[in-house]
Amino acid sequence: MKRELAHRYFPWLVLLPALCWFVLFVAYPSFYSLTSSFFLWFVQNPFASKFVGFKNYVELFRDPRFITAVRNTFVYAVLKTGLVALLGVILAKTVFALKHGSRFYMFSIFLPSLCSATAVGLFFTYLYQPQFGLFNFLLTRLGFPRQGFLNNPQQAIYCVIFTDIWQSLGFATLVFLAGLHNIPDVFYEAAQIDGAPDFVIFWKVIFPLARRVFLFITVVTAVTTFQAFDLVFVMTSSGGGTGGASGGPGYSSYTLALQVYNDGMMRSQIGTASAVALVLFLIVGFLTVLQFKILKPEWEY
Amino acid sequence: MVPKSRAERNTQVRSHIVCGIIAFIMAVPFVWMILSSFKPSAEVVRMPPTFFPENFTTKT
Repeated sequence: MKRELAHRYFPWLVLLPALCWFVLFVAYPSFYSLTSSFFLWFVQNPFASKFVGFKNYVELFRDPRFITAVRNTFVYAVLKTGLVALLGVILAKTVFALKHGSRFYMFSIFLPSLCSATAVGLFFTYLYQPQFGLFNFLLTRLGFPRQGFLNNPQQAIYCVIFTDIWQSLGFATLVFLAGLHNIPDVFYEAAQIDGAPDFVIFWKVIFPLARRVFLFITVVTAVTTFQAFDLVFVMTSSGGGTGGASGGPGYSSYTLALQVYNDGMMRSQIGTASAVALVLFLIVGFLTVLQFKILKPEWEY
Repeated sequence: MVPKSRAERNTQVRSHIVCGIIAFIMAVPFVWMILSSFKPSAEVVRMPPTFFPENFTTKT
């Protein structure tokens, strides 16, 4: 009897530390965020908060800042995920074909991934600088007009996206390279003997067999990109010329994560910030499920 | 591991060129960052910029 009891409760005992951690740091904050999104939340006295139902959400969709943030976040995610996956696989394929020197190329391609986002952001801010930045120097040397880059509302978000691609390409290439090494040589040889051109080899051999790698890269890149905060925060605050407020000139490079921070921390509107965070969560969840459905591997080798 | 046919050697050369260009683009900002860290502040913002530090310093 006693032994049976021990048998029954032992798993719970082992689970206890992890369960405590989960409840304290995952479940409770999530629940707090969910409830506070339905309240007009007072930071100083949360118990006096007023229940307002879906008012936070309704106001959100009337807010032009939010619309800009959604558009920017989607542009950011689509451009970055697409370009990183495409360039990464092309680069991995090219490096894979090399007989000598692939290590040297992988080293220099992977180098940017080792830097912290803050350092990269600050450094690119300086490269993008309109007066003495390197990019403008090269552009004027080549005979192009001087660009505003981070100071130009139309270009700011794309400058950040470029920096992010520069930083995360190395990791994607590395993972794709590992995926290519995983495919048995017989498939390449068979395709080559049949005389398939490179494009067909890529589409009919590499893509189906490395589907898990594609899934991993696109999901991870998309999820991290939807939460893009660090680079936007660093680059647009110091380079945007709006006196310290991040988000670019005006609100032109607002992203959803940035809006969560600005509303919740700077303006103390916890309710609105929670609503944004929840919308962001729903978008990311939906897209991840979609990606799993589309890129699901059909078979193993 | 010597490339056998002419076509294979061409592929190798092409791959080296593509990798070289991309590796160069990826590495230049990084090298620039490290080199700039040895320049005095006035030289960092100078126009036209210098690639190698003219007044090498470790004070910054």
